[in-house]
This record gives sequence, structure tokens and C-alpha cells, in this order.
Amino acid sequence: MEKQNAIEVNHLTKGYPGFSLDIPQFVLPQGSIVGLVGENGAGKSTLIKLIMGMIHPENGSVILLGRDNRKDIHLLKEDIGVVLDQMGIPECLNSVQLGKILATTFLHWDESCYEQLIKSWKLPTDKEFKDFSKGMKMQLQLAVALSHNARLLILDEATNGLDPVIRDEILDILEEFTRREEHSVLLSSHIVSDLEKISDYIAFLHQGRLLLFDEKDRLLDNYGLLQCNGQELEALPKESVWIKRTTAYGIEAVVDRRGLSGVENISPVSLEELFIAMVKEGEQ
Amino acid sequence: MRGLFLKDFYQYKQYCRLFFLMVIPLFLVLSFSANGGNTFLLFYPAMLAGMMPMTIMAYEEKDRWDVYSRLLPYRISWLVSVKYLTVLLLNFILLMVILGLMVLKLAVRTSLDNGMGYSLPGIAVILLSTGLLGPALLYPFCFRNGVEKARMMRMIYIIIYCAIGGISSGLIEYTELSPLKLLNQPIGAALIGGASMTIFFLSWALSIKWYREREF
Repeated sequence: MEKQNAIEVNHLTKGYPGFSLDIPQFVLPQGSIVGLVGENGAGKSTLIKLIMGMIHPENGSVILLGRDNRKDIHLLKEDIGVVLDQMGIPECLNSVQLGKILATTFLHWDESCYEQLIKSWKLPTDKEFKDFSKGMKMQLQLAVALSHNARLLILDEATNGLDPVIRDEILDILEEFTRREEHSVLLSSHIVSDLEKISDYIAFLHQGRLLLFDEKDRLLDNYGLLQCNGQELEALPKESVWIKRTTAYGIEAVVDRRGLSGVENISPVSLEELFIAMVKEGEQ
Repeated sequence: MRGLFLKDFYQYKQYCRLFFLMVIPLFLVLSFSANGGNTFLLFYPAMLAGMMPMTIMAYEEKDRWDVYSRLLPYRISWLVSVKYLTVLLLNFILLMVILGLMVLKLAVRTSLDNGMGYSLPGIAVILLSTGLLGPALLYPFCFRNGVEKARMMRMIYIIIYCAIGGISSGLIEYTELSPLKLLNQPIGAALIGGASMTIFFLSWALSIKWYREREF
């Protein structure tokens, strides 16, 4: 049976004064983790809000788990867990009260899973949400997202401001989540190292435009860093050189290996370096 | 929708306890004072009851629950309806409290007359119209633009409300056309009560429409 995409975005546009989002096509393949990379103001949150129906597009459509998100989206949300960096849980509630509210909200709420996550992460049950640390707030949101048998998780800058230990735990949980092939994750962040660790696909967003969408491993295989001098750089095919900068030791360029079969001293490039190069290439 | 009511219940318990502590003494004074008390003691709790869900809406915006709730499987109509149903419920509770106190007064003084000159239906209509018209005017703007931006409408409402109350109280001695005197006539009570309910339900529908269009 053909796998359906968890998310399909087609010709989606949304405009604000001074900013416009224009995504001709974007997919989140079922069973995979897509890392959405972009600098501040790139449009990551706007794209997520369009996907969740929180804002209305000017054109285009979003298909979520095989269904149009313009119809009965409240039913679709039963299968989607969302974690935002800006919390939304009422501050006067504790985790027990929140669990009771959500047990009457979600059709497939898993009380035992929620309690197990609260217990394993040592989250307090008698403290109000406003007294939680930032990391604990994020963990509580994640516990909610994981406790109603969701098939799709969407995390919008969810690891920002968290310490490395908690970030690592969250990333492990996301990897575990996608072991079931009907589970998918869309993880947006500007902390590229997190995305590099667990993502299957990477989407680069810059100023409302999708610059690139490809498998992470293919990106890292196809692109590399080349240290050379001016003459050597001039000898290379121009379409293979993305961005160059002059350092104290010569010229450093991000290159596309596919057009440089004879060149040997190309070193690996990180996603962060690649993203910076793409942004600067786009600006140029 | 039960989850939404439960969430609001927890917040009322946290933020609005004083209202209930305040209402009982006001109604007790209203019911048992020698010359019947002041109509303000009837209007003010009803007005506050209508504003309480707006207080919760303000906390929801502060906590960003209004954004988070859009990620949960709630219909837009439920998010709005919880507030309107709460207004009806609170006004009903106030009416029951008044009735209970009047029954108590009957047991103590063998008289249901509170000296204010209003019949029971008249009191019910005062409560309903005061308790429903404020939300009917304000809530659509709250759902459309947020509580912060709706505060100008709240100021206008309070000014109009106090003006009508003041003029009516002044007219009550001099003319039969005072709105407060009309309440004691069955047709007057029915008209004012019916108009209040109609405006309230129209406001409910408008709030759902505007909240559906609102973007976060």
C-alpha cells in the first residue's frame, strides 16, 4: 500500500506587510522526520500556522494526513500533537488538572502514557504551570503531544533555550516516535545541529521561500568545503561554486561535488555551513 | 466542550472567588434592608457576572491559551459558546440566589415584597437584561480583536449603562415611561426580556463568525 504523505503543501502563499510566504510545494513523507531550517523571520512559524489552520492562506492548499485542512480540521487535530516555543497552557493549572481537561478533549487520550511521562521526567504534579522552569514547561507540552496517540508531531522552535541534556532527551524521544512507520515529525528550528542529528529530510526556508528540500544524507554527500587559492577557484565550473569567502589562509568555498569529479581536497560540510552559504547565495 | 468548561472552572476558582464572596452580602442587604435597598445592589452583581468570562478571556490571552486552544481538537463554535453559556449560567445562579433569599425573607418576615416595587418577573428581567446586554455588546469585539482592544467598547458600555440607570432612576418618580417602571408590567417585562435575549443570541452568532475569521 502506497504511503501517504503526512503533510502536503501546494502553491501556498500568504502575505503580510514587508513579508510574503510562497511555497510551491512541500511534503513531509510519512514515517520520516523533516527538519525545517530558517533564520529568525524566515517564515517557519507562518508555515506551521498555515498547516494547522490558524491563519488563512491567500492561495494554495494543505493536505494533512490525507485530508484537506480546510474541512473539519478539529477532527484532524486529534491525530496531531503540536509543541510551540511560546507556551499556551494556563498558568494557574497544574499537570494533574491539565490531564483532566485533556482527557475530556481528546478522543484517544492515554492517561497512563501521560502519567508515565510526567513521572519519568520528574515533573511536579502539585505546582502551577507558572512555577515550572522553561525546560519543564516544554516537557509538559511534549507529554501532552505524545499522550493522545498522535500520528504527526509538529514542533516549532521547541528546543530553543533548553539545556543540552533536555534537548538530547527530546531528540531521542522524537527518534523513538518515528520508529512506527505511520508516525511523522516536522521539527522547525534555527539550531541546525539538532536537525542534523535526527532529521531524514531538510528543508531550507529563507525570507518566505523554500530554497531547498532534500534528504539530509544526500545534501551532506553532494556538498562540501573547498580550501583553495584564487587561480584554483577560477578553474572551477562557476555553477559548482555556491559561495566563497576570503580567509587568512586563502579562499574557502562551499561547492557542489557533483560537478567537481576531479577535485580531491573537498572536506565535509555541516548543515549549518550549508545553510549559511545558501542564505548568502540567495542574498547575492 | 467539557474540557473547556473544566478549564474555565479551574480559572474561575483561581481568579474570581471574590465575586461570589461579594455577591452574597450585596443580595442580603438588598433583600433584608428596611426600605428595600438600592437597585444598584441588583444591577451591579448582574453586570459583574456578565463580565466574568471576559476576565477569563483576558487571562487566556495573557497565557496564550487562545493560540494553544487552536491546536487542540476544539470547534471554533465551542471556544465561543463556552463563554456565552457561562454568562447564562452565572445569571441563572444569581436569579436562584435572589429567589432563595426572597424565600428566606418570606420565612422570616412573611413577605416577599422587598420594598423596591419590582415583581419577581421584573427582577428576573433586570438581571437578565443587565447580565446579558453587556456581554452581547462586548464579546464580539473581544473575539474579533482581543480583550485588550475591546476595552474601549467596555468603557462605552459602562458609560451608557450608568447613564440609562441614572436617568431611569430619576424618571421613576416623574413618569410612567421609566424603563424601570415598565419592568413591572407584563408586556414591558416580556419586551425587554425578549429583546435582551435576542440581542444576546445574535451576539453569540456574530462572535462565532468573527472568531472563525480571526488569525493567530
